[in-house]
Amino acid sequence: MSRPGEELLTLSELAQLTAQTERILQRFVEDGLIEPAQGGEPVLFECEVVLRVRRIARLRRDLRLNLSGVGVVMELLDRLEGRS
Amino acid sequence: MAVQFQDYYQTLGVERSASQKEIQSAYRKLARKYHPDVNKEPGAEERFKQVAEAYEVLKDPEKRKRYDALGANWKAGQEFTPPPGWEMHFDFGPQGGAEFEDLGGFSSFFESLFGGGGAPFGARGGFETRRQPRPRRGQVQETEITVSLEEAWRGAGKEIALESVELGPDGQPRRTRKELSVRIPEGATDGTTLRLAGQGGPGAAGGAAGDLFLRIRIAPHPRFRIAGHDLETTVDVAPWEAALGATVDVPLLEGRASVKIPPGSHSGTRLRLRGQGLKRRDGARGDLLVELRIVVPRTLSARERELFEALQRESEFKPRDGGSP
Repeated sequence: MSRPGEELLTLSELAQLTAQTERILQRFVEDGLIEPAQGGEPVLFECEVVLRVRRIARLRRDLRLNLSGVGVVMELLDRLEGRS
Repeated sequence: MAVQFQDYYQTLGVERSASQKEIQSAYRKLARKYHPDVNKEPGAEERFKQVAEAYEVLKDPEKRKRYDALGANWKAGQEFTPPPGWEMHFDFGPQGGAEFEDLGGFSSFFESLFGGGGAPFGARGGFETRRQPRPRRGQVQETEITVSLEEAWRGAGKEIALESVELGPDGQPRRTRKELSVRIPEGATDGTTLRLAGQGGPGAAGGAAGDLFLRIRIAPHPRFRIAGHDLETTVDVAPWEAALGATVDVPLLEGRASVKIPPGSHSGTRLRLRGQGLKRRDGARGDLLVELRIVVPRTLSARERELFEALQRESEFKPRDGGSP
């Protein structure tokens, strides 16, 4: 098996894995919903961002939340799960 | 296969005569309550799935009409076969509803009414033609593994068992179980996610399998708390150690460290031991934050009492007067 812990994803890989457009992912970054791993260009993401984007997408679709609503819910979920 | 009747009105808690608006509002309320991303209670996901399926049918006047045509005499859970002459040339699939690939598909009741049987779960867009199936990559799947802090510190090999529901050659869903060996990398922390390429959902029509994303959880540790790549621990000190300063022995995850307590330390004072946390991606380690907690003897010897009383008489320290001297 490869060494999966080291892996980082490009924006287009992230888009493909989460069935989102690059444009909306950029919007998530601007809104602080997801963060790229440190470092400049190209923008790279940790694998955990895949799960985060999938969750954001479910919240938007199933609960019809807009991005500000998603932001609040994610913040509260992060706190509940001890991640902020 | 026996199919059980689903009472979609009962699921949403609305009357059969409910307006589209009432149905929508009932759905939204229940979706907020049972959405598996916000409700981790057992059963919530199952409930959300039923609610989403009920809404999928009742929100759509066409589907609702077909459902209502079954009549009002069916009871939830009753064995059900579509009435003779039931037209199946419609192919309503889930359209922009809940993501059923995550949840394991609609019920067989739904499929017996609206089709979708045999098609892979979660085919997007109900009207997509399925006559010439294009190769489709398998779904991304997610799962979690809990490891000890020691395993995350050193890295560890772990086995995980995955259960999934796949369609067999006869089109019937069946449970399959597979075991995978994974390497927890040194420096994983709570939430670190590994990508296991090709270990997710199977592809369709010759498409490649999807990836599995494995989220690492670190089990609570009796002595250390985890904050990203930093660790936190609490060390008890005597009042005189805090007042006079001392060098104390602090247990680490591996080994021990001598830590200098500066004179005049308070309960809650935090000392940072650099490089004693979890390893980061760049190879550097996070820090260990040691929080001091001043503790006093539960019982005092005669001599200790004498000394504390002498201190009480002679000290000019006024802890509740604002700034300490």
